[in-house]
Amino acid sequence: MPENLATKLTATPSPDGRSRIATIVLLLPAFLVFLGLFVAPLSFFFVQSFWKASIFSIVPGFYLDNYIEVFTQYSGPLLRTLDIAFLVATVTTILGFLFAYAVRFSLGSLGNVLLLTALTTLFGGYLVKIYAWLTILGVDGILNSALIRLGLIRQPLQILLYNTGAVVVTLTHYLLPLAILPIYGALREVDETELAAARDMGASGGRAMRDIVLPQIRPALLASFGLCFLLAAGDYVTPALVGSPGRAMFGNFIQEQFSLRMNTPEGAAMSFTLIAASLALLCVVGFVINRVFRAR
Amino acid sequence: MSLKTALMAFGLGAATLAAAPLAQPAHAADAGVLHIFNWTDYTAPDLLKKFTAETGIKVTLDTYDSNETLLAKLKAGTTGYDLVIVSDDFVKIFVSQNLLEKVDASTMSNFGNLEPRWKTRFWDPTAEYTVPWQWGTTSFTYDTKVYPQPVDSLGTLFKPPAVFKGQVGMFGSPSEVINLALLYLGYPPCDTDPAHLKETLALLQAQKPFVKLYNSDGIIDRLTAGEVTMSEQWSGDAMRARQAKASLHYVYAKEGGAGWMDNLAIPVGAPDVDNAKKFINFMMDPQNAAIESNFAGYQNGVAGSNKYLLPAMATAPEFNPPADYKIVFSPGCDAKATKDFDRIWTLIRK
Repeated sequence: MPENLATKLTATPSPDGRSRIATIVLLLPAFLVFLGLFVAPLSFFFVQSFWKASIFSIVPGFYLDNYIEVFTQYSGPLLRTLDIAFLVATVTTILGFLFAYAVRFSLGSLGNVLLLTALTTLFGGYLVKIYAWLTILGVDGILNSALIRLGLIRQPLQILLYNTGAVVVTLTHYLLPLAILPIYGALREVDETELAAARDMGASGGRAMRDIVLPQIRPALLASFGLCFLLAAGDYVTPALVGSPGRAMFGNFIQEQFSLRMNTPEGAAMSFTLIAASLALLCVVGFVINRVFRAR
Repeated sequence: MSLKTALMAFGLGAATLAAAPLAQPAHAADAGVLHIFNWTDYTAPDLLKKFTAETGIKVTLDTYDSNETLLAKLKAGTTGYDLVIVSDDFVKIFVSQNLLEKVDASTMSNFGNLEPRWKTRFWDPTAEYTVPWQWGTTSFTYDTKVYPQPVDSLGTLFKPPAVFKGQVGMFGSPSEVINLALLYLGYPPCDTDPAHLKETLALLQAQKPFVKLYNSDGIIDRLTAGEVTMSEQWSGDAMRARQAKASLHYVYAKEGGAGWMDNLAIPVGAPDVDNAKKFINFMMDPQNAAIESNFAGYQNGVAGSNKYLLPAMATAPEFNPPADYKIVFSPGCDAKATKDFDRIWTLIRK
């Protein structure tokens, strides 16, 4: 083969090489947006968490004061927030699984209607849902009115609102559709013939679920749990509107640093502490889910 | 179309879209327009119509929910606003950060209409930067049906009778809650004495079982619905609450009450300072000041405006504090006090 022809052939990019370049070029805008609107601000935010604030002005430098403050002053609210978020995520994931399972395997065409109904609630505003629960649980609310009409109580119950229970209920209602989606998506991939075969071989419904269904949808369970956990842990509107006065969540304190104090450095330190604590807890949950629901 | 051409077109389109917002300022300077930035539900629509009718200057209104929001917006750079409303305890902060233009109100034709006590205010002693907008007091309201006894002390709010267990509403702002507690204990606002703060913390922690929530919003609704039966409250809101539910009573305590004043100011870089000054002068006219008071429910600091008030307003107890009532204005807390208040605020809500 003549040398110049060999050179030409090797110099010409292969179709693989060309498609790789095209892929990179097409992904570049999204990558730049991600870099510019997510990585860069977050990095700057992280740097700022080591700065100091003094009466609405910020002093650059490297100080650990904010992180020390977080652990000395806010460890209680942080642990409580992780606790509430864990409870909300657990309840929501279980309810989401039960709902998705019923839609996929038990309810037939009615299941599709229920699924559509559940997902339609995603179009309702977040604040609307909180105010809906205020309307339901309030002194003049639907629940109190119903209980009085039924003669079960004489005076409206004051304990329904402004407590941790109200926060859990409201957040669960808000997050449930988000938990259902990934689980239902994963359940669609589960082959019904496998379940039928398991039953034919004498496995109980519970055993079939544990050994066949759950191992196949582990990633979806973790995705649902993680999504609900992170949204609940970072929330501040729900506890502000329906929560207990003496049991503010970590998000409330973060929000105050930004909106009331304009103390961006401390707010940033609190935010990164919450992110780190949440990710650590999610790693543990992921490990547990993978161990408990592994294929047998 | 080749990939190269498509990508060039995409890049050009993206660049154009990205640059479009940069091509124009937030509000282009408009000779016939005044841009006002005020608290939500705090500007009488009739007032703006009257100003436009008299001067031919159109008015646009944007709103915010806290001094901090306003501060953040002004610090971020030119906003296009000609007029803003700043609370008394924030004026010094705004001035120290060079965010306000001098208005020299004392040179304006209507300045003489201000009540003498408001011509000089300690947060703006020479009226260089601000003019009174509305002022009022902070105390508390309780439901006389729930607690029929007469009340004359902040002690009822901070050491409530058993009937108020889980029934008290407090503001969601650390400074407003803690300064009122300091006033009850006989200490000055923004006090940083460790012993006094320890006493204040103990008082607020003892009050906590009685508190249903710490939230400055929706107080009128909660009081009228009976969700809370006693709440920290601003005087104008207290009047509106009483008009909705006659059994509510605003307390002028023997220890006194917190005073506050919101002030008209011109931000640095305002596109139309002349129009802003016209509006400031317009607001010092008794008739115009009364229109705003009738709408918002607070005093205005302009002498002679009372004769233009609605009868229900002119006689409202919330609008007319007793002559001997001690009103304490906060000087605005320094960095140490702010940090100390934050600590207390965190501890009572842990």
